[in-house]
Amino acid sequence: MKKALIGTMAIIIVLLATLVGVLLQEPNTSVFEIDRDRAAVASKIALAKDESAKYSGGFIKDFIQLRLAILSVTDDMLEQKRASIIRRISMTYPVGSKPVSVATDSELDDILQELKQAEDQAAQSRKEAAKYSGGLVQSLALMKAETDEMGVAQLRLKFYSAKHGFPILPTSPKDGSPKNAAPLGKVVGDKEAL
Amino acid sequence: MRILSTLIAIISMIVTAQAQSIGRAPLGLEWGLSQEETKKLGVEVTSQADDSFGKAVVFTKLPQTIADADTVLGSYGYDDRLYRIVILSKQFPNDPYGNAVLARYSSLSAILSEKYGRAAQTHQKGDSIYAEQRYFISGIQGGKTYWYSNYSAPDLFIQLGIIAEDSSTGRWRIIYENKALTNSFEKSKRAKEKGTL
Repeated sequence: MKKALIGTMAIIIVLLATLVGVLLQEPNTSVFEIDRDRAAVASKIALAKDESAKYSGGFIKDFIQLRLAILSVTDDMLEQKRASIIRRISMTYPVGSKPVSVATDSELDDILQELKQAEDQAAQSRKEAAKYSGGLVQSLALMKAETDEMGVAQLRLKFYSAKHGFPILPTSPKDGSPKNAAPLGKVVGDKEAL
Repeated sequence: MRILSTLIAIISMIVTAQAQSIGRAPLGLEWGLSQEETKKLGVEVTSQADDSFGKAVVFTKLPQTIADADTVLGSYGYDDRLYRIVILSKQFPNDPYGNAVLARYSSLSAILSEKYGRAAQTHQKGDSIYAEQRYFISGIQGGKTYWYSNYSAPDLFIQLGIIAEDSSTGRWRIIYENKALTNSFEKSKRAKEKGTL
């Protein structure tokens, strides 16, 4: 009887120890880091909303709405990750037979470089659009600027999904083409090129 | 004598101008050049597998391109002369309604109309669910919805269209074909097929 009681107590202690170990296990990403990422995305969402409020309709507003949608998806993804950390729920997303893993530092650096280039291009397009006071020319220039801003939002989503292990956008090229592929060419205006 | 020499000079200028206009292609390329001659323009020409349009290549380092172009393909006939150029845009993902790609299509259509005249448009949504805007890209993917504009200049055929990669990712595509060189390619293709059969 005594031996049975000791055996039962030992099993209970082992189970409790395992449970405590799981609960105390630190996740790879901290809530603080995710909050910081969410704050960055929230500021972009606020900027996009302010811009959208300037238009009552039309293609440019549609573009801005799309950019907002992409940023909202990014924010939702980060919120989900935050909730999973707080509730100690381990989430993995298998693609094929392999779970998607968090990107390496060099992969993140590559995406950041792409993001920086996209941001520079978007800034240049905005500057170009600001030269015009209205009409079709400015509309086309603004449309181009919004297309570039959408590219930035997409890359931001790609960065955060890679950083936190979400399989939204792959970190490596789908078709296996080399990352340092030759540039397409010298970017000029649509009218000049077509 | 003076009048005759002036006439000869004018005719030479017209012929030269026509030759130049036939030669000028979009993106700083030149119609009718061989792959080697195209490379001399500073363009990188990467061969692909031959297809129904002849010798297929991918162009990079072009003299000109536009911001949201992703890939530029070329076709050289059996006589190694550039006669067809296809410009594919980057992806417009997560947009089953096709709003972004449609907006860009409209802006490109305006530019092409200004250069090449009014287009013959085919904007046809499919039946059933494909009549709804939220299935626009899906309809194009499934071959139920068609969205393209054809332009015809004296020496060129141009088509601007929307294509789909999946049910929510669209792209625009512009196809340029030099009419004279395309006819020449079609003739040699028929002769080649006839010889094979």
